[in-house]
Amino acid sequence: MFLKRLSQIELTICVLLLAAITGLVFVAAIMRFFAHPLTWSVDMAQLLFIWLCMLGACRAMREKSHLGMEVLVKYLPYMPRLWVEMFCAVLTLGFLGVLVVLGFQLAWMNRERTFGDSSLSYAWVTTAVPVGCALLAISLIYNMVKAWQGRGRGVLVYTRTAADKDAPEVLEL
Amino acid sequence: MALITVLFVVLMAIGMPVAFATGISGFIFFLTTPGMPMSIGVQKIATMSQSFPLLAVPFFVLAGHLMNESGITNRLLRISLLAVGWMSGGLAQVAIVLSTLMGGVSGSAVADAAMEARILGPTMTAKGYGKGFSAAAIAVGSLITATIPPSIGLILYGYVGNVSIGRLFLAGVIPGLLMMAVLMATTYVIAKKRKYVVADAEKPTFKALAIAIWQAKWALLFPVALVLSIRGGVFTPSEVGAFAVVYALAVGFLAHRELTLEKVWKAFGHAASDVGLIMLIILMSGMVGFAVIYLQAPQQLATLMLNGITDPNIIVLVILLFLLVAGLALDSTVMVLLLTPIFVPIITQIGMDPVHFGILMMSIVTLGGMTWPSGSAMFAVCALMDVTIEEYSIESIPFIAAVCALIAVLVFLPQVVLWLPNMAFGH
Repeated sequence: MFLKRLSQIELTICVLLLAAITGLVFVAAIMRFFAHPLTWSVDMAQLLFIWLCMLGACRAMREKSHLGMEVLVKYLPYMPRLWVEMFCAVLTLGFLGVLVVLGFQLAWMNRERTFGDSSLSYAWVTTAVPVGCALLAISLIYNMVKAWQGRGRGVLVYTRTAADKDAPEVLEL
Repeated sequence: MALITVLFVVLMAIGMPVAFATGISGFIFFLTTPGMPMSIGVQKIATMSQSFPLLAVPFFVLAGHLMNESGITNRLLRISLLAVGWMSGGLAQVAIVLSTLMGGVSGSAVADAAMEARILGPTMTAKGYGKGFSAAAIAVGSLITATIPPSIGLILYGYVGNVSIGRLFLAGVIPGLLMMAVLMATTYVIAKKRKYVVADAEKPTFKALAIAIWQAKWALLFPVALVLSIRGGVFTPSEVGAFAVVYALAVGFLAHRELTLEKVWKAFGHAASDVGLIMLIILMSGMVGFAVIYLQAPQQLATLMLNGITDPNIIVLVILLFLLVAGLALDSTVMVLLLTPIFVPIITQIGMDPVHFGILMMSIVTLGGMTWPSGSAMFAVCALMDVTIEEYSIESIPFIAAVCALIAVLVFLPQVVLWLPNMAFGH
């Protein structure tokens, strides 16, 4: 299926980014230890990091791992709760939309500014925000559609319920 | 600031995911402040990620997942069983010791609590331990994970509050061990009174314990090596994080031979989601962070909260009490990100060491995860062990009281917390 393929590609990019960041910092630390510092290596790691954050956040969205406070809403019956989540989701979509527009404008303004000690444009960093927000919005819309289709089984938009059986563990600090 | 606060509280109350509640209320500042370009808001989101210390987060998250996949949990469990299984309340003691040992590998209390509820929970109930008691020992015990290095919470605190992460890591060691002792004593008393069976009646032979420790040497060595390499000052915590990932891979592939490429892939995938989830909150908090500084909120809140209080000890107690109450409702990551920049200037001004405060703050905000009404460790453990929140809450009272008492004592004994970091780094 097309969507599944897309999520696999996303996962592959995430894994590669994570591996690249680790490798870059590891090599930079070793080289610095032997008095051959590589400044571009850490700069590159920072640049990839924001992309990892955004893509990872997108995965976490589809896994419904982005936690909110459930103290009050958990007392709501299912349908009102779904509507509250739909309302929050629409609000979030609006917010993400604004960030996408502003983010692209900002990236356009940043294109001359270089990044760290490298000759790379800072726009590579800034662009991650609008692109990431757009992907988050798509994931959120996907969740909304799934929740609406699964409303007979008690599926929610961003909160995991008993209906999401094989969802992964929740992580917290 | 009032508008931001009200909006944040309302959004949180209707269950909006934390990252977006933080983001939207921060963005309102840019919408409502005349002459403040909205694009700065987006800029703040991007700049949050461009900090080298923050790279420690993905590294330690990934290293933790890799360690889990490489059979470390079983080895640490064996040590805990041998070492304390014979004591009164044996299995609960095992849970607490295991949390301490796991604390040296992973930086997340909830992940630790969930893991223990799955592997120890069923055995405990089968051996006649009260369900609520078992859940409470596991959930509150996982608090130790939050102070033993590497702790992701302490990395965030150090990053936001501009405090040395190396010092914070070292400062967490003794309080973590004290917490273990206090919780074990509490378990001992309760278990003795209720005549809970021991896990293994025979005291372990020295040889058996030594063998178990030897088999887990790579896992046990990890926090020690971590602290030593940061302490040397040669490498920064982020660089040590990258080493930790390589170390975890080496142990899994070469020493334990339990890691496969498939497991590595799984660990990377989990780590990517976890990093995204933590980092989205951090990125989105960039806007609120900017607003807080711009509006001079720390100064305002300080005058409001501490009006007329001059005794430094009382000020610290008031702040910690505030954290305790706020922690009931709020998630620990959000608290660290939003409140650290407010409180660190205040406590530095009255002459308290921010490293000392960081350990106290981390313990208290993480404790919020173990209590009614919104503790995520509580929910995880209760759901996995099928315990009601009410039963858990009653049984957890002695444990939480013991931890609070310890924290209160630590407020007045900064030398206990600061002894290790001062010895290693100088004053």
